Amino acid sequence: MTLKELWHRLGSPRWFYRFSGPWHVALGVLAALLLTVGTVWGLVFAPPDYQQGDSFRIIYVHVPSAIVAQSAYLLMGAAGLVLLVWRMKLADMVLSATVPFGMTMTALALFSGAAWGKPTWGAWWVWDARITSMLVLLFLYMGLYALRQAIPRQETAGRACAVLALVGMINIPIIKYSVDWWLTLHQGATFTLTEPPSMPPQMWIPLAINVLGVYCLFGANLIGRLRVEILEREQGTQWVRELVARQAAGGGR
Amino acid sequence: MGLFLGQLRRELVAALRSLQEVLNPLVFLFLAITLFALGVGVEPETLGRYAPGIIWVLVLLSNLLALEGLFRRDYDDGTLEQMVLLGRPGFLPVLAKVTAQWLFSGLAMTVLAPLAALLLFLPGEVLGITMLTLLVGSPALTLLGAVGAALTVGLKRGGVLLALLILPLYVPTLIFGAGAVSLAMAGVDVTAQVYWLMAVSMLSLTVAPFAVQAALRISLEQS
Amino acid sequence: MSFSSLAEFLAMGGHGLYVWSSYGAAVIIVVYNVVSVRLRLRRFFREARDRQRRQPYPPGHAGGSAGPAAELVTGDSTRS
Repeated sequence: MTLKELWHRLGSPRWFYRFSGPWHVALGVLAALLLTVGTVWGLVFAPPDYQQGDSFRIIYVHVPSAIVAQSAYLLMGAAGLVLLVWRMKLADMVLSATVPFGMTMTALALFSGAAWGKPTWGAWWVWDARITSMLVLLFLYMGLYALRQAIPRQETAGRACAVLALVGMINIPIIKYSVDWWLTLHQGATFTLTEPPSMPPQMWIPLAINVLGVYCLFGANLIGRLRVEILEREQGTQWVRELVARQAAGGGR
Repeated sequence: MGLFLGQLRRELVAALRSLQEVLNPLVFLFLAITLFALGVGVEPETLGRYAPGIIWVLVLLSNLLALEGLFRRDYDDGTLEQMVLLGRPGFLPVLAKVTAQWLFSGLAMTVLAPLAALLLFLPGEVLGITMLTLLVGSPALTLLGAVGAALTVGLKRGGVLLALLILPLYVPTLIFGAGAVSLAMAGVDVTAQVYWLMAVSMLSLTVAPFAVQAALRISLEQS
Repeated sequence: MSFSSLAEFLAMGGHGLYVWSSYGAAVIIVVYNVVSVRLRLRRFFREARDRQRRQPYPPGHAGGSAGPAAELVTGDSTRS
């Protein structure tokens, strides 16, 4: 299948539902495997940091969640563009399905950042550049969520969120840069948690595995949410009715 | 251009007719400054040190209050529909509306900045830079805010939602604006920060009119 | 392995509270994301089955299983 054909087929929720089933399972299994290996490796086998001791093990939660939360916002911006230009229904679903995952991951990054900050800096909250950017990101997610809840008509809500996500995505690099600059103004030197080059392989390999695992989790979760969303939005159609009938008869999905 | 100026003139006349509505955010600005003085204390040392941040945050909030009414009246009486759906190059009237809005919020606050500086004991030598940052930074506030106002215009009780949508986008302007004034107080050159404010405003100017237009179309389609 | 006993592992060099609360939050959030989708899927199938029992044929029956026609129907989807 060429890329162009794929693009056209993505316009059909029904086709996507059929196509995504195996991917949903595969990504889910892969995510479970990778996250288990990465977490056990990071928690049990990785050596403690020579300065921070064992508290550095929070990195295996903090960094993957922060990375995937930012990627999720970029994906929403891209989906917003696709929705506004091509009016693809699937893009609207991606937009609404990404918000809960992105928002909870941002919250996790903030929480683990705070839990890491306490033993490292002696305070639960420090206005570190990256943490501050994550806080702004959380507010951006909350705005998207609130906007969707506030607009009763689904299609309108989707396109309004698309505009907001796009404007937000254009702003994110500027926000990040300004926060970095603001920090150099208020703190002599930025304290960086851990620089990757100085990390031995036993430390960064599990981190890489967890990052990969959380991306698989994101993919699986996104597909799962899309599939439910498709079923709910297409519930009047023949193919969904047949699917429901088969499922009720015990035929599974 | 004629279309732009015509719309701008109409907006200005309308604003002058309902002057109270235009003045309310400015009154709020000074009311809030008074509250800050009462809350923080009136020692010139303390208040003067926080003055750049206080002025900039309150300018942000006053702008937000002003923005809520940006499209409201035109939405209610149907003018907005005419403007967006029938307008030839639809973004010109939008730009005219935003310009009028800026004249009565961003520019008015810049002009009133000396008074705010006086009340907050801002050192006199940074007054010029304060006004300059407000002048070049506030267009971004109005432009970005107009996107939020356009998205929420059809909604009941859109006010808090507007704040939630727009305030995160104001972060860079606040940081560079307040940061520039603070640095200027310490005697540092702030040309770079002023350029950054201009860059944010210019970027908003290129993106926001189209986003506003798209958002207005979306908001109108649900009514 | 960088720990010699279970107690040492749980203590995390004195940082147990911070490490385990982070991992606990991670588990909660991952489980929430997975389970909420599962529950929504199950609720959909239950409600759709009940609906179809009450009303064996769809209102616009002519739709058939043809792709394009099916895509036009938006349906009165339930929003969470």
